[in-house]
Amino acid sequence: MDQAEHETAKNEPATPLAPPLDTEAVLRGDRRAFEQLVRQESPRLFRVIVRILKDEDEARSVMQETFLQAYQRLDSFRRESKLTTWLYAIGINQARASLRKKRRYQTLEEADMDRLQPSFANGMYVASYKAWDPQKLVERTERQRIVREAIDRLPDDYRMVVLLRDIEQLSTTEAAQVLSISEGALRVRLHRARQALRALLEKHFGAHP
Amino acid sequence: MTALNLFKKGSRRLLNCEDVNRFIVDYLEETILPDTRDRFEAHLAACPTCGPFFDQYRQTIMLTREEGAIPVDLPPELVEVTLHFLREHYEDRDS
Repeated sequence: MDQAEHETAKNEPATPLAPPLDTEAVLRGDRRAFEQLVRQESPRLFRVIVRILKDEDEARSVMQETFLQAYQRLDSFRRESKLTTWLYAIGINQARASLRKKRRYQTLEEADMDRLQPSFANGMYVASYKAWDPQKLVERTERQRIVREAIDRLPDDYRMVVLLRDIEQLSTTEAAQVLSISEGALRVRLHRARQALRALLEKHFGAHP
Repeated sequence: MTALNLFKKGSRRLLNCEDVNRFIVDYLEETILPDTRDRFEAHLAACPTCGPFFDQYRQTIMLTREEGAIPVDLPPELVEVTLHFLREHYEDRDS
């Protein structure tokens, strides 16, 4: 069994009494083992789904549906990734399906993302840049609000990459597996997302006159 | 010039700002080749535009992490509610 399967999810408090998850038992459909997976992964999965949906009630329902789908589709797990990575892929697909039905907010278009990338002429930046000092400029809770609003403006494909890589801090390999894209595509998307965020934050954290 | 050309053996040309921008993710993930990393850092140290841009890029990642550190607490009853929900549906697979 993959040693990483024994690790407690990042940022979750350790549960010293819980035995290591028996992945093989989970894959055989052992209910007790599956319920241990539910207990172990619920905090992180719920957090990811809430961040995608921004609606706790909907996130509850999506999380339940995610575990049910995972249980019903255990036979389709191909062992090409960690079991938890496969679970998050199901959860994110469920959350995205829910978003498509019930989105309550507007996001940027791909053309907007293009405009938010830096421009170059003869290999040099067209604009000039000055250092930021956001910690001095804006107090923490206000900074977090500004950044959250900027992240929420990103198109879903970009927001997911930022969520998985920069917030949940999954590896490039894991994030690419969750999103079913190549690692190269993930890096390109992440770079575009960060550059768009940088541009959106510039007006708040850039040099003020 | 494509990024691929920069890796060709014997290719020692200096990187320009656009090249440096293209390598930012690889540099931060430490997947950049040593020779390219050296030229990336040399450009960054000398360029009055790329240095501040790179700082802003890293600040953006740090600010994103700061926002992401706001806790999202799992409602205390949700695990048990989920397990109850699953127990009602296990047979859908097992039958």
